[in-house]
Amino acid sequence: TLPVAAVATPAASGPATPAAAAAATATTPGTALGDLQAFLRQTQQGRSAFTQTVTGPRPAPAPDALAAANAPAARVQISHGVFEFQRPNRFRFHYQRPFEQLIVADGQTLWLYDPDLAQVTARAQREVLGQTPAALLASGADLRTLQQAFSLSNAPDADGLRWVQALPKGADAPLQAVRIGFRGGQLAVLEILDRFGQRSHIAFERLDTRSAFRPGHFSFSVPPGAALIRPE
Amino acid sequence: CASPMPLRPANQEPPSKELPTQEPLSTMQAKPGAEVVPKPEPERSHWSGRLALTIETDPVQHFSANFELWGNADSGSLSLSSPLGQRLAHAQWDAQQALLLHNGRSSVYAHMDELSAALTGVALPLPALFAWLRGQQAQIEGWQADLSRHAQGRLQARRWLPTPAVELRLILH
Repeated sequence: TLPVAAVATPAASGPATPAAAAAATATTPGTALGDLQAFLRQTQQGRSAFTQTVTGPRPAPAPDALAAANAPAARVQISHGVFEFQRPNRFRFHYQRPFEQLIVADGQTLWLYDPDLAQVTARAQREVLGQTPAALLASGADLRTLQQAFSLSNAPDADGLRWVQALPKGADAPLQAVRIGFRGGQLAVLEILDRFGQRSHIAFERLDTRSAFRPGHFSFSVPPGAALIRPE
Repeated sequence: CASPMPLRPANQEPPSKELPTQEPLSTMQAKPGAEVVPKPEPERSHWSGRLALTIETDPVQHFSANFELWGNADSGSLSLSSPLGQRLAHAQWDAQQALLLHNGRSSVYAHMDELSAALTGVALPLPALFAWLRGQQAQIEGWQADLSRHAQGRLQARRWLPTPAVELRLILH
């Protein structure tokens, strides 16, 4: 049979003791969940340059040496751009290099514009929010509301960051896990692991939370000559 | 019966260089008088980029994604992802069968024509597609490819038959 690309499922193990369970969900200052709660409450808008590194899943174990030699290595694709958000539910991901793509959430619709293909795809924001972890960052909700869609917990500190782990609650969610990293209480990393084991690591530079956005900055209009697609 | 040969996608090339943004693909015509011959890359076996499929039904159907493609028409794999890097589907094929991983399920098809029709709505002509990607013209009934901008990482192919008409546009990274 075909070696199947790893479609991993999250480990079922949870905190072993009541104390550990309490620690895992503590939101007191000094915890990652505390950072996320403060971020949701106190940072109403922000702009940051980002670097996104997408790593394909490690290839499925190949049955023989020749297959192993031929199997595609875990692919890494790096892109750069600017992320902007404004609570309660607006954000922009403007990918600039190596190619341009623009994602705009205007509060109602999620727009994806590809200038090279001259194509705009528009989806109702509420239908795709579960698959757009960026909505976690731009959400106007508090932790309790987010916990309707994600199991939130304090993950171990790593790489000098405090980490929140968010496990999607929907059984058919295309994502396996989301992690948000904070450095000194500031948003630093968004990491997304999908059901295929493909990892998207988005590292944010210093967040500018002061510069105001001009009115209409998070609205989108279809550029002349671009085809508009509204998938059902 | 004997279990089919395990899949062996061919070796891969180093990551391709960053491409500057070009004029929109929809204005894809060779410059007047310019005799453009693509530079064939017969040995290449890995491509990444973006693809857009338009099926001229009523209403028109569209399919687009970021893609990575390995191998050749006989044995290879294709993965489709969103701009934010989430993989949407993964297909692997060899001479015996084609396997699709999509929405948390795996489905087996006799060959990639069936698989690509199920996934995108269009039976993609894999042998011709690999030739076009390598900058080599390939005749296939009902399809016509424009390789005039292959050097700029742009490829367009149109299916006239069978109807409905289909347009495939690829941007190679």
